[in-house]
Amino acid sequence: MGASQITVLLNRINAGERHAYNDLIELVYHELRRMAVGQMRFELIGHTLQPTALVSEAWMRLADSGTDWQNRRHFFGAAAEAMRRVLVDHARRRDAAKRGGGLQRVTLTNLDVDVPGADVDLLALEDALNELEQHNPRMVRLVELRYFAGLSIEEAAEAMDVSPATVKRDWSFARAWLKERLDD
Amino acid sequence: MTDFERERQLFDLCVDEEPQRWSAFLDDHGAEPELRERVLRLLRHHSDTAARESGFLRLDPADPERIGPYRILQRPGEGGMGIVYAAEQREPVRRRVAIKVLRAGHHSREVLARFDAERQALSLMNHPGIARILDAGTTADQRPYIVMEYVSGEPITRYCSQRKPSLEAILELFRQVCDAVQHAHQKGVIHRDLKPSNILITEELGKPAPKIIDFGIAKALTVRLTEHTLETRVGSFLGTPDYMSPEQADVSPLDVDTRADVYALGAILYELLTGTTPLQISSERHSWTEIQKIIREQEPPPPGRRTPHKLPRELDWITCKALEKERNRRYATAAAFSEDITAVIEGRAPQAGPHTFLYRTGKLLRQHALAAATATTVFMLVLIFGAVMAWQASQIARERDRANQEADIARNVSSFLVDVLRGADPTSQQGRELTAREVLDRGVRQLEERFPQPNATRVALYRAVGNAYLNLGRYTEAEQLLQQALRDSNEVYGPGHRESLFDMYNLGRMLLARGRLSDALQQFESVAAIAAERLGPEHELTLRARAATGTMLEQLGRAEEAVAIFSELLPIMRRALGTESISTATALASFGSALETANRFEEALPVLREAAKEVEKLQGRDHPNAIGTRFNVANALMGLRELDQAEALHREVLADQTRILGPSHANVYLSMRALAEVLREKGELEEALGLMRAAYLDQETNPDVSDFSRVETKVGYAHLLRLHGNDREAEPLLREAVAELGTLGGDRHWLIGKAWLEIALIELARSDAEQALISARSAIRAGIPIEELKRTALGRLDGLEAPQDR
Repeated sequence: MGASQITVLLNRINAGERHAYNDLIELVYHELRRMAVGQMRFELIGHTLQPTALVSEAWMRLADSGTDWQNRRHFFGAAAEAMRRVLVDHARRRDAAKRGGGLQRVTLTNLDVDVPGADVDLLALEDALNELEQHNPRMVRLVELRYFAGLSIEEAAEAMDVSPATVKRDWSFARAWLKERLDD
Repeated sequence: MTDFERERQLFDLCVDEEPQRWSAFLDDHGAEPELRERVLRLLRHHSDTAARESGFLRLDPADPERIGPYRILQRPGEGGMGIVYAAEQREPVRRRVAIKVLRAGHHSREVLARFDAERQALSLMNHPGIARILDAGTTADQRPYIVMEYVSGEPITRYCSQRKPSLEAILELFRQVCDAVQHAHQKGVIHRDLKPSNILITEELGKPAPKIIDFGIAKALTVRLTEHTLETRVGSFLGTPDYMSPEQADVSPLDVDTRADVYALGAILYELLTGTTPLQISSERHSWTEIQKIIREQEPPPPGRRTPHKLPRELDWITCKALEKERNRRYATAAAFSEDITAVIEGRAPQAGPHTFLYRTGKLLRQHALAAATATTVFMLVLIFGAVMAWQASQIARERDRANQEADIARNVSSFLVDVLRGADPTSQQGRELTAREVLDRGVRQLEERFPQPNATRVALYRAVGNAYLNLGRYTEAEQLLQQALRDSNEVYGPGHRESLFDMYNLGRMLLARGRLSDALQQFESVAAIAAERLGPEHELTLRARAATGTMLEQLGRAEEAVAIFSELLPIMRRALGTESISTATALASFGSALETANRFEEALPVLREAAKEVEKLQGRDHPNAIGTRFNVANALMGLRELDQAEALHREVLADQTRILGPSHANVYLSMRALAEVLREKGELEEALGLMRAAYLDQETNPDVSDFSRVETKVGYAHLLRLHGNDREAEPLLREAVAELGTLGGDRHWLIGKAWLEIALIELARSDAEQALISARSAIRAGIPIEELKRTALGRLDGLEAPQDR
């Protein structure tokens, strides 16, 4: 797995192939999972996963330095979605292993911050995101980019090819909407 | 339009309006009650989050409209005893200010006096990096307040994580913070609660500029009294644990001086570079005592290890220096810190140097990493064993004229062993699988029956069986047999003969295995001397004995002497023994270890890697020598802080050793200890602990394991338990270990010292300074250098200087 595979996939995406994007997600997913597993290997007290660091690292590993913005866009989109899957998978496994332990608290302040922390109930967030997907898929992409891939407002705007102002508005609403659901 | 879209639309319309106007707005747009409610909730969520983001909460009706001549605008944040408002000044100039006022009710003399002292200190300061004090006064209801420059900006960590400035820019900002702190220190003010939320980045003339807020006042005003925070102790200041220096977290806090601020700055720099705080502390998951312990003892990995970005090594050194547990080792002033940062920005060498870094690693290898020290031991064992066998084989191969005699012996030996292994003994227990140990035990009995007189065959048999026990890690039996072999050799061949020397050599290995390093060194030196005289200076046995000498020196910490010996020896070995010589390969590996021990990791790694390649080529990948060499490469990687590579390689080695030697071999436990060390260094304490716990429990119930190995594991396990905060379990284990080691051999032994050191730390942690001192002295007596003790919390004990040497 390496830069050339990514490039091929990105070219295929640019050429309009539908499945190529899914393939990219798969590729990135496996890479992220491999890296994340390295970090999440054992349940540790005080262990915090750094998805954004993982995504950066995956980017460094997988992408050529010459990859242009168009492709970066695809990559980060894929990486964000892949990262979300990695985290949710992990949370599901961990949840299954838990025996009636208290659910993690659900404060959404962490959505303000780049890095998801132990505060957010990932599975509940996952459900909420799935629900949001029914209404406004673009917002979900945005949440993925900001929350799971850790992009700033400007970067997310670049990645989604919209203006930062639009991103800000979408983000404000999405965040409030999610928080409303997670508070239940 | 769906409900969702409607909500969205209304939300967008209201989001920029003042909260008071939302209801009206929604009514104007004809929102039904249910929808209105939903949107209002969303809006509230939004403003709460936004508020928390920028630090502003909505005004409470209870808040006053004015304080003095200032008009209150908003309430940015609060502590337990004080409230901070954003206000507006009208005269003589219109500007925003921040007002800090004591909450009604907290008016003890102490608090007031403190408030006043801080106000005075603040007014002394005049620096662009520190929020200025503008005014002070008393409210209508007799509460004092201070008016300060209003600083609007983001906490420095958030600023950097959002804007992602270049490394240089980050360092430049940080440098300015250091300069500001230095200014305060010069005015006699210690912040004591430096943290990112107290350092805001504002824009001044288009450039980002840091400003420190809450200088000193925070100390008095932000003590929170909820159960989840730490500030429930009476009489001592407690700040955020993440940035708290060890002396602040102390059992009995010492005078806190400016270096506590240096530590906090170090922690902030760490966070700026890596995105996380150096220590993983959570006031919710850890009790206060655990937090104290973590702060005092857990060593954070250097920032370069914690971030995927590439950081210059100098930054590792600098950050670690600021984060030293022992405040004498930190930067003495914020200015010194700032200077080193400047040096890095400008590409010069900082004051903090690799000496600090390697010193830590050296400390790691010598003090903390039992595994590393013993790794080389066992590795060497394996080496010598392998080499000896090879030497024997080559001897036999070369001296064809003696072939007959030796072939006979060899035949006898193998037929004997075959018999033994077949379980030909009629008294054997029927229908049960024999363990290797039982086979050997039986073999020894038979040997003595079949060969009642010393002869060449018996010598060879004693050797073979002795080596077999050695390979199983059964050192006691092995030693007995090899002593017997030597006795026989001396009788059969005469002392000084090649064969006798060979058995002397084997015994050296034995002594080594039992941890009697000085004795082993003497033994090898004798062998080398006699062999040089009787067999010649370039004879293989001479060379191997000299190589063994080198390894002993290295084990005894006399690394430079060892390096000297190997540097001279290796060219000779290559010349005399040729390129396909396993002896040379193993000597090369020892050389690598010596370099490791001398902390010359950069040089050691390539040597070890070459050695690993050679050994593998000559003996195969699964040969214990090859595995042992890979083990040592992993140690070198660890020494170079390539923790991921070290971990991967250690895991591989552990798997290999388990597969080949079985799960209960001393080498396997050694591998587990080494892996646990790497994990611990990576901060993966839980896994390290799990590993060591498994190793410990396994060894405790396994009779085939050597005592020494068992105690090593016990001490290693106890060490990790202590790091994990579990003194209760650790202490009895350590005391057991000390007792066991006492019976095993003498009280001058580094492992005993290590155990005493751990005990001393535990005793100190429960405030038993007297006992701790006694235990510390025992550690020194057992050979732990006093400098090592000084680097720990024990360094503060009085009277440590005088070990009672008898």
